[in-house]
Amino acid sequence: MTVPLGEDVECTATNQTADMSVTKQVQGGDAQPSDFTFRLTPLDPVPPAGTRTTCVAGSRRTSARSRTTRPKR
Amino acid sequence: MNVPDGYRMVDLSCTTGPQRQVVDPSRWALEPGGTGQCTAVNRRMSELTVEKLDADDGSTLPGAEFELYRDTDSDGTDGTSQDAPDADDYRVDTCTSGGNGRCAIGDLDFGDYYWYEKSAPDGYSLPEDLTSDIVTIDADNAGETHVTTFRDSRIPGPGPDPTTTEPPDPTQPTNPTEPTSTTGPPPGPGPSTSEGPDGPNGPGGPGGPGGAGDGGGGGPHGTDGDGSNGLSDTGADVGVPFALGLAFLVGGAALAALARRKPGKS
Repeated sequence: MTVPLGEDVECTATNQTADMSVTKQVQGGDAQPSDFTFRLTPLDPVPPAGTRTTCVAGSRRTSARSRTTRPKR
Repeated sequence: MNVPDGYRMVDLSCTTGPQRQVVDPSRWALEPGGTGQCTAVNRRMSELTVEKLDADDGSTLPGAEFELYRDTDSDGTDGTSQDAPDADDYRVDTCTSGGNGRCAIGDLDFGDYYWYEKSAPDGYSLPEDLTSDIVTIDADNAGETHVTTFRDSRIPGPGPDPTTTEPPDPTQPTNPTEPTSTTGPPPGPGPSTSEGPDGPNGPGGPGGPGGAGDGGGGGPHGTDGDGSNGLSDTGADVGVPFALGLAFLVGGAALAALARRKPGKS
């Protein structure tokens, strides 16, 4: 952006995220949803203060394991 | 994603937004401020084992070849025949029974399965029913042991081959025992002399004419050959008198010749 001589420019930067939740269903055997682990990894390039890789344990409830993640650019 | 051993993710479905619009997880990117919900389904995988036994004594048999089929149309027992698998069923894998008579196929999802015995071990015949009952794997029994048993009968053999049968090993003769007495058995009834038996009596010649001999030949006497003269053989040798007579005649003739020469010389 080029600011002309004598002009004022006001910028507003808004960082947004997205919200992601995973529900785990286990069929058969003795394992529980919490025995499974999900890993959320943002695609490159990741901003310096952006979200990083997150590991989430599985759950039967949808809302219990919601995590923020970097949205589509 | 970390997954415990024996489990496999069989489904992953995702929706986005308050309307829960279904999206393809492999091509999905969350919009800024958006929300996403996914559901992952993991199942416990299972293993099916087939066991091969001798129908008579129950011993385990290696070398039997099996095929595992999945009853894809889920028509249950009607989906199998005794002779062969259904054409529309899916063959999962094959295995051959080992030394313990067993073999197994693993990593099996929920579903209906059955075994098909493709070939029997050497010396054994296939059972009448080549396919097993349906084995159903579901959430209630996944991961448990499932063993299906086939029993084969031994093929009657023709007996040992006489051309290849080894003769029995000869046994070692036992040592003779020493006699308890040095006295021999009594002599047997052998001949009392060293001479041979007398010859048979010759046939008697026919009676001679007039008052000639009695004609009765006492043995041992031989015949004279053909017996045509009708006389019995006296046993005398005629050769010597004949020679003496002939010498006497020659001598006489010689003396007569000398007597005729003497007057001529004088």
